[in-house]
Parts: sequence; C-alpha cells; structure tokens
Amino acid sequence: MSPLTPPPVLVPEGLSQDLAAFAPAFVIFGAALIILLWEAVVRPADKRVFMGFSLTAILVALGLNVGVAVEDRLGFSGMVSFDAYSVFFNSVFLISAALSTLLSHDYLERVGVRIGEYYSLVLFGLFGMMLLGMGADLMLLFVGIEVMSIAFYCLSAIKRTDARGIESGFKYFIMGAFASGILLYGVSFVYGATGTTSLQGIRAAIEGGVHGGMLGLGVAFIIAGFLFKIAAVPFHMWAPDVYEGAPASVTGYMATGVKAASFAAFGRVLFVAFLGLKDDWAAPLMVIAAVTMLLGNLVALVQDDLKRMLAYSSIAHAGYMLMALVAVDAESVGLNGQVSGLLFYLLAYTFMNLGAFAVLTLMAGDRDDLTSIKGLAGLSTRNPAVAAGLALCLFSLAGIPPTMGFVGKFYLFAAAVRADYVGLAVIAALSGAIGVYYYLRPIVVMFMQEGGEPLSIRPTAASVGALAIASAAILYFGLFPSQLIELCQAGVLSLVG
Amino acid sequence: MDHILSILTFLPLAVGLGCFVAPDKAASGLALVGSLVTLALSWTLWGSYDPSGAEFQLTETIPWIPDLGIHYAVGIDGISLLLILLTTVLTPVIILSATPAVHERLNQYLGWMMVLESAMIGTFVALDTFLFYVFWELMLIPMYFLIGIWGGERRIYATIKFFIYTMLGSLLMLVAVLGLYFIYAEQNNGQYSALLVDLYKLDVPYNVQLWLFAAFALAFAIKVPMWPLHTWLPDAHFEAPTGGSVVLAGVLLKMGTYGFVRYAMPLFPEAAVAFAPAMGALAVIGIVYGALVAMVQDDIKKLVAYSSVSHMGYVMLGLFALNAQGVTGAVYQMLGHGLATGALFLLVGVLYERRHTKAIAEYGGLAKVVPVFAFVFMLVTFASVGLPGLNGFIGEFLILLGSFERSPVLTIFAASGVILGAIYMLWMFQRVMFGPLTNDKNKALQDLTTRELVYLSPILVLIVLMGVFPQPFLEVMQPSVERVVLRLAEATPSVPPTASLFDPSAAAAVEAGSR
Repeated sequence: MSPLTPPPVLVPEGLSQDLAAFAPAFVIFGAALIILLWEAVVRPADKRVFMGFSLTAILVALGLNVGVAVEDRLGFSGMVSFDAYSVFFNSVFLISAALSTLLSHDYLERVGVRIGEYYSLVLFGLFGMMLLGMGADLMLLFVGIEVMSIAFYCLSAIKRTDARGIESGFKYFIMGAFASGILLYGVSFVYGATGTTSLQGIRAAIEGGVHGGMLGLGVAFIIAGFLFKIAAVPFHMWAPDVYEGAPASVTGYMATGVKAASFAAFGRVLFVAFLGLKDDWAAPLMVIAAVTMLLGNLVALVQDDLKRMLAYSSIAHAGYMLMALVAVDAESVGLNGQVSGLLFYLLAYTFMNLGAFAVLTLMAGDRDDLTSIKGLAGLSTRNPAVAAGLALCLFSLAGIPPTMGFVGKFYLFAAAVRADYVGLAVIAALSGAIGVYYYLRPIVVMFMQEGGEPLSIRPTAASVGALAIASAAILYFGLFPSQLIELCQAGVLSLVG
Repeated sequence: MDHILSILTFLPLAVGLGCFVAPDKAASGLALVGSLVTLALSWTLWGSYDPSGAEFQLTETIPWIPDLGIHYAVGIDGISLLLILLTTVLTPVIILSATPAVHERLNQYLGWMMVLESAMIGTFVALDTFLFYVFWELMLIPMYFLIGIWGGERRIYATIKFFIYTMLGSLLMLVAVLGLYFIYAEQNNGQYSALLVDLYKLDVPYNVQLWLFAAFALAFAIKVPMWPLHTWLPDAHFEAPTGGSVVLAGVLLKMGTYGFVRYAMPLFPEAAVAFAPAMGALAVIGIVYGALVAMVQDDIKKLVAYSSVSHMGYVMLGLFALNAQGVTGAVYQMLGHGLATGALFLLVGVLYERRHTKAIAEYGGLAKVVPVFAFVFMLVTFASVGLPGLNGFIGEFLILLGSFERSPVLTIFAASGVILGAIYMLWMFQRVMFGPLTNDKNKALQDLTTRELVYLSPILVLIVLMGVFPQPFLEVMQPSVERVVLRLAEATPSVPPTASLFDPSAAAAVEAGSR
C-alpha cells in the first residue's frame, strides 16, 4: 500500500439500502419534528391542519412500508432487522395511528384539548413503536420502548386541567419507569452472561452452552418488563386507571399500538434470542396467559363504564395473545406457522378495538365523562349506522363469526391445541364465554332498551369514517382471511432468517 | 344448476340485508317473495337429489383458507335435504304470521328472520367443520336480536341466557374441532383438512374419541336441549315473539340432533357406542321430566316449551338406539316435532294477539266461539301427541321400536312418556276449548282469519301427508341413515368410558394421541 493512498472513507457497507428500508420511520420522525416547529406559528383555530398533515405522513409511510420491497437483512451494523415481520408490524402501528388520528381532532376540540403537540407526540410514539418492530438488539429495543413510552406518558396527561388525566399520566410514568428499569436491569444481566446485546448473538451464545443463574435472572427481568408493557397479570394494575383517565383517542391508540409494539418486540426477543430456553419460560408464561385472560374477563364483567370495560377486556385479549407466544415450538427447525396467529390477532384487535373507541369518542360528551354503557340506550333508533358499527366491533371482540375477531381467535386456539396446551385452550374457551356476556351488554342497551338518559351523539365525518374502515376490515378479513394469513406466516418465518 | 346449494344459502341473506334498508311495507313483500323463491328452489332439490345414493350430493368444494386446509364445502344427503325443506317451509309461514303481530321495526324483524334462514340452511349444507362452525355461531346473532328486541318482559334475561349457554358449548366444541384437525394433520404428513369427508376417514384413538365426543356432545346437547342442560329453553320460548318461538322449536333445536347425526356420532363411532347407555338414560329422563313439568304449567306457551324438552328426548333416544329404526324414527320425529310444535306456537300466538294472555285459566269453552281455530288446534295437538295417521306417530313408533331392541327397560319408561304426553296435551286442550264459556272477554273472540288459515295450511297438509304417506320421506333418508348406522355397527369399544376418561394411564394416552 502506498502511503499516498487517501484513507478509506468510513461508509458502512449497505448504508444506502439501510436508509431506504428505514424510510418509513424517517418520514414519521420528520413529520413529528415539523409539527413541533410549525405548531408555533399556527393560530389555534387552524389546528385542524395537523390532523391532515399527520394522516398524510402516516399514509406515505404506510405506502413506503408495504410498497418498497426490502430483502431480509440486518441493517445499521446489526441493530435493526428489516424483514417481513417488521414490515407487518410497522403496518399494524401505522394503521393504528391513522385510525386514532382520525378519531382525535373533533373529540379533542370538544373536550377542550387544543394542543398541536398532540399530533407530534402521536408521531413520536409511532416512531418508537417502529423501532420496537425492527429492533434486533436489546439496546435499540430499550431505546424504542423509551421513545414510545415517554410520548405516551405525555399523551395520557394531555388534559392538563383534568385531575384524572394527570393521575393517569403520572401513574403510567411511575410504573412505566419502574418497568423500564427492570427491563434494563435484565438486559445488563444478559449482557454479563453472554457478552452481547444483539439478539442473534445471544441466541448463538445460548446455543453455544451459556447457561446459569445470571442469564436466567436476566431473561426473567426482561420478560417481566415486557409483561408490564402488555399489561399481563400480575403487572396489569396500571392499565385500567391509565386507560380510564387518558383521553379516549389516546386510550384507543395505547390499547392497540403500544400493545402491538410491545408484543412485536416481546415476540422477537423470545423467538430470536431466547428460543433455546423455551422450556424454562413457556410454563410460567402459560400460567400468566391463563390468569390474565380469566382475570381480565371476570373484572370486565362488572364494569358499567364502556371505557373501563374495554380497558379490562384489553387485559383479557393480552392473555389470548400470550397463548401464541407460548405455543412456539423450540424443537422444529424454524417456528411453525401457528405463532403467526399473534400477528393476525393484533391486527384484528387494532381494527375492532379502535372501532369501538371511535364510538367512545363520539359519546364522551363535553367534559369527557359520559362513557357509561347506559348512555347508549336506544342508539339503534337514533343512529342506526353507528349502533351497527359498534355492534360489529363488539361481536368481533367476542369472537363470533363471520368477523376477523373469530378467525383470530380460531387461529390462537389452534396454536394452543397444536402445541398440546389443550388445557390452556379450554380455559381460553371458557373465559371467552365470559367475555361474550359483557360484550353483549352494550348491544342489549343499544338495540333492546329505550329511555334512561340517552347521550346525544353527534357523529363527525372523521370518526364515522374510522368506524366504517374498521367495520369493513373486520368483515372483509373475517370472510377472506387467507391472504392476510399468508402475510402473517411469512412474517414469522422471516424471524428465523 | 351447479351452485344450487350456495344460491339457496345466500339468497335469504341477500333478501334479509335488503329488508334492513327497506321500509316496512316493502320489506314484508320482499321477505315473502324471497322466502317463497327459496322454498321453490329447495323443492327442486327433491328432483335433483338421487335418493338411492348414500354419498353427499350436489357438492361444491372451493378452497377458502388454503394454508389451513379450510374449504367452502357444501353438499346434502337425505337427512339434510329433509331438514332444509323443513326450514324453507317454515320461513314463509313465519314471514306471513309476522305482519299483524309485529308492530315495531317490522323490517328489521323480517331482515333478521331471513338472515337466520340463511344461517340455518348453511348449517345443514356445510361439509367442512370450520364452515359448519361459522354458520352454527351465525345462527345465534339473529335469534339473539329476535328475542331481545321483540320478546316479552324478561326478554333480555332470556336472550342473554340463550346466547351464553349456546356459546359456552360451542367454544368447547371449537377446541375439539381443532383437536380433530391436528389429528388429521398428524396422520396425513402435516397436511391440514377440515373437510368432513376427510375427517370421516380418520382413525382417532379411542381415548381421544371420548374427549372429543364429549366436547361435541356438550355443544349439541345444549342446543337440543337435553336434560339437564335444558333450562335456557323455557325462558327463551316464553319470552320470544311468536315467529322466534316457531323457528326455535321448528328448526334451531334440530341443529343439536342434526349435529349428533352428522358430526358427533360418525366422527367418533366408538365413543358414541360407549356413551350410548348414558345418552339414552338422559334422553328418557328428559322425556319423563319434560312431560311432568309440562303437566303443571298454567301457561300454554310454557307448556308447549316443556313438551319440546320431552319430544326432543325421543329424538335423542332414537339416535342413541344406534340402529336403523331408531335413527330413522329420530329424523322423522325431528320433522314431525318441527311442524307440530311450530304450528302450536303459531296458534298460541294467534290467541295471544287477540287476548294478550297465554294463561290457560283465562280460557275455556273456546270451541263454541271459534270452531275453525278449535279444529286446527285439535289436529295439531293430536299430531303432537302421536296419534296414528298423523306424522308424530310414525316417528315415535320407530324410535320406540329401535330403542326396544337396544334396551327394553329404557323403552318402557320412554313409552310412559307417550301416555304422559297425551295427558298434558289433551288436558290443556280440554281446559282451553271445552267446558263452559265463563270468561266474558272470550265471547267475542274472532275465529281464524283467511291469512292465518293460509299460513297454517301448508303445515296442516304436511302433518297429514307425512302421517299417511311416510314412504317417500323414509326412502329419501334411508341410504344416508344406513351409512351412519353402518359406521356405528363397525365400532366396538373395548372399555367403558368412565374408566378410560379418568384413568391416569388413559390420560397419558390422550396426550400421546393429540401430539
């Protein structure tokens, strides 16, 4: 080598492909920053423009995400994984964000939240979710969790004058920070045991014979951190209060987006890094799944408030989804297709839950306190379309055919039976029957009872649009799920790489 | 027509959706025409179905969710053909009976009724377990709204009880469906299939059969309903509007017994044989219990509701006689009960519309005021009691014949139910129709109108026709019944079920089997 040769430019290999694959996340991040600056110069009356801008950014990102073909690869020096799994989950987050954005504006106006940062927080949260969907390294996953969570701490307390909102945000923050700490503690143990934070590296180390107390403790702490984020029993205590106190549009976004993102990362960590330890974590997770679905459904049974009912039902649904994680088969070469039920169910849950929240934002009233189920009395005669849409979402949440929720539940049950957890499937079936009872209650009130003090529901185009999109998706994928199932299976298979 | 079964299944659904958006008057016309066209189409099946074949006919099989081996597969045999005809005959009758009786939201009422017809036909034609489950659950939603919106005072309690009861059974059945599905995959190199014809070929281990049979049987027994799972039925019947009661007694209860014939028994023949004594005993308890409780009712509708528990007990007894006479009689009794009880509920509805009460004590001596009504009521009562010459007799006779061959003791108890049945039905008839006309409100009672006669007449004609000329109906179902019975005859369980269900070593075998 001649001394005159210029030093090599330190451009990592494949940087341009990495940037291209990361483009959807950049779009979201950029849009969030733009809103933050733009907000300062827009008159309060004109803030509707942010809704349109956010939606456009989300749709562009969605287009980039599904439209640009990316081959499976690790990018950014192994920190980020671009694969069918991340593409699928990014789509779920984007859909969740798009629907929640549609619900937001008129509702926030009505309850008196006129803050432009709302949209930038929504997008920052979305960016955090996307990091969670793609992260292939425990450090990046932790960053993703923090980016997402901090945005949501603020979002849940965005009604600054409302005591319940502040309580909600504060509670979420304290508990969330604690859980993040536990997670990070776990990461440090795993790093100590294996010498790496990369998921692939941890897998290789475990396959190479690393075992022992330090690793086990790390895995347990990491799992506990994720269980907190998905609000599984016994780490669920925060969820009902936070969900109830936060504005309805935020709660809907939180119950679908945050949950999907946490499951995405949880799944990737378990399947990629810790698959070799399956025998150790599967049994406790199975118990947690069973307890979570039973407790969520039982407590939801006695709720008179629609928002609180949906909060507890969201805990129960986390229990169903845990079944898919438990059902992974460690012995077969890859992952069998059954785990893909998790992906299907998360998308289904996004549609049906946000559909229900669309109605919740319509009924919430000027002080955002009118969410009692009784208020729906006679809705079917006053607003038949809204009542029918909510009924469809509730039937889907209850898992009744021909809805997407049924196919999803079928898929999850299939995973459990396939993995020989017949007992777990039976518990899920029984707790599903409990769930049917409380999902039917709003339908009873809407269609079969008159009188009381009916709420005035003023449908707005955006919220009804969100409800219509959700309803259409619930029916379409309930009747013709096969293409979506193929995508889910491709997503799971891409993890093995 | 190539897709006759699909057309038959989805035409009522389309009509029903149309009814929801149409005004009341247009909706009743639309529903009537739609249900009559469906009826006409279903009678063409009678011509295109070849009664000598035992296999499923007019089948259509299209992949639906290929990755999971799920198909849109439909087809009929003799048994489902007859039950489809029962459905399509009863639906226009209900549509006609709705018009003066339903005052509020008539278009939605008709819409749900047509959606329900679609789901019922779908359940009868489905030949894929997944598809069957979808239609099976789909039946719940229209019925839930029919009872909940147009029912009586405690309608909400009744409709939720109905829904939860049924749902609980079906969810456990879903787990069993999945179990079966993976057993198939295991025996066929990981290929999935939910097709019934494929699943029939499976060789399911005996212990696993017992569990799967139990799960299926629970779902079906709730629907039938078998004693002691019957408690939802009187509530649902009592609170349901007339049309809801007719369709509930007429067709929905048959879904349970149909499920046994089509799924639980042929899929798990050894388990069916093993459970037969227990099922027979429960059936007989249901027969006697239903009859005794019916006897003490002071409300006509409740009495008819409990008589259903008793009559469906016969169907179950016939099925679990596991021989050709028993199963044939059971299917015949399904049709007979559907027609007779449907007609009884219609007649109770007619009375209720005029007097707004269903209490027996409010009536008496009606025969003098409303002779035509009394005659029709008598004919239907006799059919329900099983008088020779009417359709009820043939079913009951064949069932008892088949059952005697299997267990004379049970049959003796069951036969006592026939006597009890005659007692409570005729006693009720006597209290309502004969005696002095004491209640002044009944003096001006209007007799059957032309409209009411029109919608009752097809049922009356069929009641007589099926009593006098049973042969064509028996012929069409014979090969299909024999196919089921043959499967059962080949099965010989080695161990009594209780021993293997709860024996630890057997439990291990269950796990090994499902792996």
